Order: sequence, then structure tokens, then C-alpha cells
Amino acid sequence: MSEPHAQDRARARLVELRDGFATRLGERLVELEALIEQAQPVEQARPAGPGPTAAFAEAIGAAHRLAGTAGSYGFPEVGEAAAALERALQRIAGGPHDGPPDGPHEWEAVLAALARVRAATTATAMER
Amino acid sequence: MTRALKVLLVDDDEDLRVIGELALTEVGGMHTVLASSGPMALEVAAREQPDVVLLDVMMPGMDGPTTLRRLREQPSTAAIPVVFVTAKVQRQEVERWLELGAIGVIGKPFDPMRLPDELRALMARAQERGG
Repeated sequence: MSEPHAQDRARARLVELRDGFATRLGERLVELEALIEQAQPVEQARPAGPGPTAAFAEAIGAAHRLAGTAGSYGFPEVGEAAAALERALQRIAGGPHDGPPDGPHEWEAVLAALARVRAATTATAMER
Repeated sequence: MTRALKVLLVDDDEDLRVIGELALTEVGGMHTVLASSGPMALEVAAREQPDVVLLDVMMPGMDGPTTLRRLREQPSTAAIPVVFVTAKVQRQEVERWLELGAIGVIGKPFDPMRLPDELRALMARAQERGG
């Protein structure tokens, strides 16, 4: 364990990192929205076969990273919303693809979860 | 004075690596080395011989479980303890990570002020189990 003054320095550094992360949250949201927008038509056109398209897997990965990172930086609302988005995306990725494209309700769930991430990110920005 | 624990932190998210390094180094007084992917982790682990690897489960390309298997296959890294860092911490999921050969699991997201203590506790428990 480090000394008490080192702990204080770590806390101060953590506040700095948290501020920096908060300013980048908007950029991460824009990237996430773009990935989902790009992936949706590709994924919906995916023929029968195992696994999601690369574009869709990238969108899942981005939601997953945001879920783990935002919470660790002290933004649990953003992290939980991103985790819900990841689960919604995973439901589509793991769903049956034996003919018809994903049902619109599955994508509605994704878009609703994305809206929740957006709202949590906006609320975080307004608090600062 | 005891030697600082050397930890290899593996995660594909740069922000996560930054806060993890802060937690381990500045809060925990540990020596931290970083890798952003499974293949990089194999190289860094062989070169740096860390005391423990903190390994993200879901990474593009080579994921955490595959990286763990490959670490076990390399003679120079086969004995290095691995702790998974993951959001998948339900009991059955944790059992699966342990069956794969991890000594423990740390939930993600984590509290950076508590991460070093969590890691030390897992390593102590693993040492007790190992005699």
C-alpha cells in the first residue's frame, strides 16, 4: 500500500482523469452512434449463419468498453446505460438468423438503450 | 523494504488502462506494465515476467480466455497467475473463469481506490490454496 500522501496525490490525479474522461464522453457517444448507424443495415441484411457482422461486432465492443470504463471513472449511470445497450445489441447478435431479418422491436430496444446512454451522457455534461 | 508487485494490465480500452495504471501504481504502490491486446500481452508477459496479469475478457481478435490459454502454453509465462477483469461476475460465470485457470476475478467497472487491495486479496487467497 502506498503512503497516505501518495493516496491524496492519487485522489487528486483521479479527479483530473475523471474530468478528462467526462469531456471525452461526448466524442465516445458520437462514435458509438455512428457505429450503430453503420451496422444496422448491414446486420439486418445478414444472411443465415453464425455470428454478427464485423461492423456489428465493433458496435458491441464499443458499448462494452464504454460500460466498463464509464463506471470505473465514477459515472455509473453512463456505465449502466451502456451495459444495457450492450445487452440489447447482444440479443440481436445471438438471435436466430435463419431467414427473416431481426424484428423491428429488437432494434427499437437498441435505439431506446442508445437514447438512455445519450441522456446519461448529457446529464453528466450538465452536472459539470 | 519489499519489492513492489509487478502487474501486467491488459485491456483494449486506453481510458481503462490509464485509470487502471493510476490505481495500481499510485494507489497501490505497484509497478505496472501495460498491453492493449492479447498478442501484445503474450510479448510483454514473456519479456517483463510480471507477478500477476490483470486480463480483460472481451477484446477484439484474441480475447481474454484465449490469451490465458496462450500464456499457459508458453513455458516462460505458464506459471504467471492471471486475474480476469470482467463485467461477467455471476456465480456460474466466475466458476467458468476459474475453470479456465484464472486465480480470481475482479468485477468491471472497478473502484480505482480499491483495485490494489482486491488484487492483493485474490493473490493471497490463491497462495493459501496453493499451500
